[in-house]
Amino acid sequence: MIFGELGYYSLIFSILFSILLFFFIYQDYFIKNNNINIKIYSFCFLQFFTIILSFFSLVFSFLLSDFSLASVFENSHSSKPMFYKFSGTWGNHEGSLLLWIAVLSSFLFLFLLNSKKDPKKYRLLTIFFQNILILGFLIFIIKTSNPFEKLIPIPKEGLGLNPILQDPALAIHPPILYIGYVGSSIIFSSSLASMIVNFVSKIWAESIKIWVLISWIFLTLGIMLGSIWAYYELGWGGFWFWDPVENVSLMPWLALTALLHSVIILAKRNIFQSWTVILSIITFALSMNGTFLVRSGILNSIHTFANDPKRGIFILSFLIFLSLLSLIIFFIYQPQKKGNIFFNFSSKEMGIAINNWFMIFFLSAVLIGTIYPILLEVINGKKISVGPPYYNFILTPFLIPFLIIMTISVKMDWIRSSINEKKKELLFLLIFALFFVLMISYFFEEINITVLLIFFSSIFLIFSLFKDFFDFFRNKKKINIAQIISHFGFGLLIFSIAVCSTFSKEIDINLKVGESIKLYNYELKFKDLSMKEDKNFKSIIGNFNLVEANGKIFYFNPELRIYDQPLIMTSEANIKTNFFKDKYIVMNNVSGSDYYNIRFQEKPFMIWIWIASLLIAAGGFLSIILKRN
Amino acid sequence: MIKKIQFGILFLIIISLFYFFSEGLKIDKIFSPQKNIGQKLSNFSAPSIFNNEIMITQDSLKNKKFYMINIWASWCAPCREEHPYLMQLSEENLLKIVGINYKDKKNYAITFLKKFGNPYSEIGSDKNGAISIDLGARGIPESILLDDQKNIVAQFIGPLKKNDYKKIIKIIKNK
Amino acid sequence: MKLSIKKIIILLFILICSISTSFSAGSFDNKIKKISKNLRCITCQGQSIDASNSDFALDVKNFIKIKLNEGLNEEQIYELLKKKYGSWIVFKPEFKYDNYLLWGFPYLIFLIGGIYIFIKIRKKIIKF
Repeated sequence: MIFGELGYYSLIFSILFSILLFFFIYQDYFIKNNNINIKIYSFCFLQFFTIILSFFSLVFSFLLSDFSLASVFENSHSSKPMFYKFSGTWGNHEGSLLLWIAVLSSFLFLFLLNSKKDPKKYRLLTIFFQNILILGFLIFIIKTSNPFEKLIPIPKEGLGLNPILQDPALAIHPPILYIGYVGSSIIFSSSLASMIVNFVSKIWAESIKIWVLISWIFLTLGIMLGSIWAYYELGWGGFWFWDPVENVSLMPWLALTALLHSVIILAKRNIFQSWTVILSIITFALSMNGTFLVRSGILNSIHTFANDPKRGIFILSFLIFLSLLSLIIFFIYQPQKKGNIFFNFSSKEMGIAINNWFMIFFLSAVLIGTIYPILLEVINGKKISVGPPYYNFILTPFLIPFLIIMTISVKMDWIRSSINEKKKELLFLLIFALFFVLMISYFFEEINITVLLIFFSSIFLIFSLFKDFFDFFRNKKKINIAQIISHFGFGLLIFSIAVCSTFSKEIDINLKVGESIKLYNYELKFKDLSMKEDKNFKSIIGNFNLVEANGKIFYFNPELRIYDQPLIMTSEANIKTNFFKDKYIVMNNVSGSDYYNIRFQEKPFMIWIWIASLLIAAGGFLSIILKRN
Repeated sequence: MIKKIQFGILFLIIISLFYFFSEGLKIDKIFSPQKNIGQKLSNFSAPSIFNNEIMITQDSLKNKKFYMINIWASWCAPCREEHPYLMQLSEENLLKIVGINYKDKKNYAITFLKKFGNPYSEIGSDKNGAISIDLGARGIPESILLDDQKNIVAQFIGPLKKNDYKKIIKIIKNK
Repeated sequence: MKLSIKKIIILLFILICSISTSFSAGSFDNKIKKISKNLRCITCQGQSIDASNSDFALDVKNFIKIKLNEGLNEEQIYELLKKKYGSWIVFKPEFKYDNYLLWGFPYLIFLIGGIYIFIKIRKKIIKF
């Protein structure tokens, strides 16, 4: 059909426009004026337009189930709900790569429109570097993973989308995550450009702060959606597994969080110039590295794309090329220090330096844990797994000082702050938090010391920010509300995760219809089974009653779904959420018997993990809005 | 000077990462578990499928130069596929085959053997799969070839194929 | 009053350390759970034994149950499984020469970062 051709040829045209753009940038670079040639605007627009056109052609091919395209045939089916046909566009390697490119070029276009105040040469070079990225990915998609590849003869029906991917959270997860990933590309390009034209300054920091914030917000939300999906869909009640694919999205987040802080300090105080540039480069390199690791199939993970070593080599070479390019540019044009700037030990500057120090530590642990198995296998052929116990061991103890320092440094002022004023307040909060933790340890004896300290430090942070928040409403004290919300969210996140993992209860049992069993203070009755048929699956629904000691009954209906295209069985958990805890039941059939395997979990504070992540992102969002006004 | 050293170190790191990753890409990611060839068979004990009183253990492997432990079940389709090779091996009388009947019902297993023949000198029953873990197996069917010292000589994951059959014969004849 | 924050922090650590934290082992089922969470289901991509419902995972859970009943402890079970299936099966990499870099790298970076910040920032810090 027509959309296949349209999409393919628009891609070809966009390559042409990219090449032409290089030429015009070169031409315009040496003309001394303040305005960018209108040709560059128009070709940027054309490039943006053709890529978006190509992307929507693919979307329409999916919506119309055009099975003459290999990517549609392999990942869609005519009986699938419209929403999942739509999201199926990026549920596969080829389509998601096209989405990636679409985001790359939209960011370039937005940058072009929003940077009119900045120097011309800086803008041109940013476009230049961003175009290298776009062209590289365009060649990659055409050479190794063309989403518009034709099939002859045209199949009658598609193979369908893996049912565990048919989930609302996962449907919107990739676009949001990609805005986060790819947002870092413009930071990367502009930091290279600003080094060359010697523009690494307060003004530069102010102008890229918005891009840092946008990618950070979207990355935060993207990671959150991924976790929500894992929690609801994977059927074992966890939301974070330290799986390599999850780590790969966490690493740019950690780098971006560090960058967010160092950009603030650069904008305010004009220090940390080289460091900010290094973080910008690292952030994008990590995003690219993530793409490489996920798509090349080099990892062993729950969620891998279908893979092909040719793709791996291409992205790897491109990544190495970009890393070397930025290394060379950095060492030639390294930002020069201008003058000396001083600050006191107890100041915001110091707080941010410590934040970056810890962030890099967290990052290095996640990075080495993710790539070490690959390195080791190359060196001596040994296969090892690096999983949750490793990360918990390395990261958890460091969260304690991290949170405490965070609490104190949020209260600090720039350059210097008089501690005495704040000492009393902090002392009071400290005692309050201590009291709280002592209560916890009194009621629950089995908690180990690290966890108690995590409780203590996160409560310290939460209380301290709560107090600031309260002061804000009472005395209208001038505070940075966005910062407080994000930091509060972080404290709450760590606290909820600690509560959830310490106090969660879980049990596996085998039950037959009609049986009942006592679990903790509950009684679980397996009433009966019912059947349901939906558009693309049949389901067996278990009806369970969970009776509390006081007689209150919860009705649970976990499902076993049998999808027909492709034929896969999945189990859908049934979760009852309230503000204190989630109750979670999932059932699985036991082969060759009438028994069903029931997994019951009670997870306190689960909902607060999601709320906390939302708060973290909301803080970033608020800071954009407040800045605009 | 310090700048040049820094540059050199980072350059080397990037290049070596390229090397490691590109080598890593070449490694076959298709699931290839560690095989325990050369190791001694771990101790196991399984009640005989015919008589719960009799235990089948590592000591049941005696009086022959070679032994094979074969994990199977009546409900497993690939087991039917490999069964003719097991029958052939037992007819040639070169080695002793001990079966481990995996998560199966006794009468189904017996019907299976009546229908396709019984290549096993003894059959242990593994009701909950724990014995197969004791033997270091990943699933069924799986066959472990042992020498008279009960060292693992070869391990076949998945159904025995014609090549595997030839390999077994070759190993035995060469010794 | 000058050192009061430091004093309080020290006091706090002592207090918390003195809280008797009994590491009770929990029930038998919890023990199986805990062990199976630290094991990889090697026949399913990337899941833990606990999360998986494949035959292999169920077998390993039964195996753990039997071995616990035989009186083996957690570490012995890991060792046993490592011998049979390689260190691929455990999620916690062993602390031995192969993995020194893995275990040491983050701390190394932390140390280098600390020294770097100290050197760089020392010049900038002044007492007002």
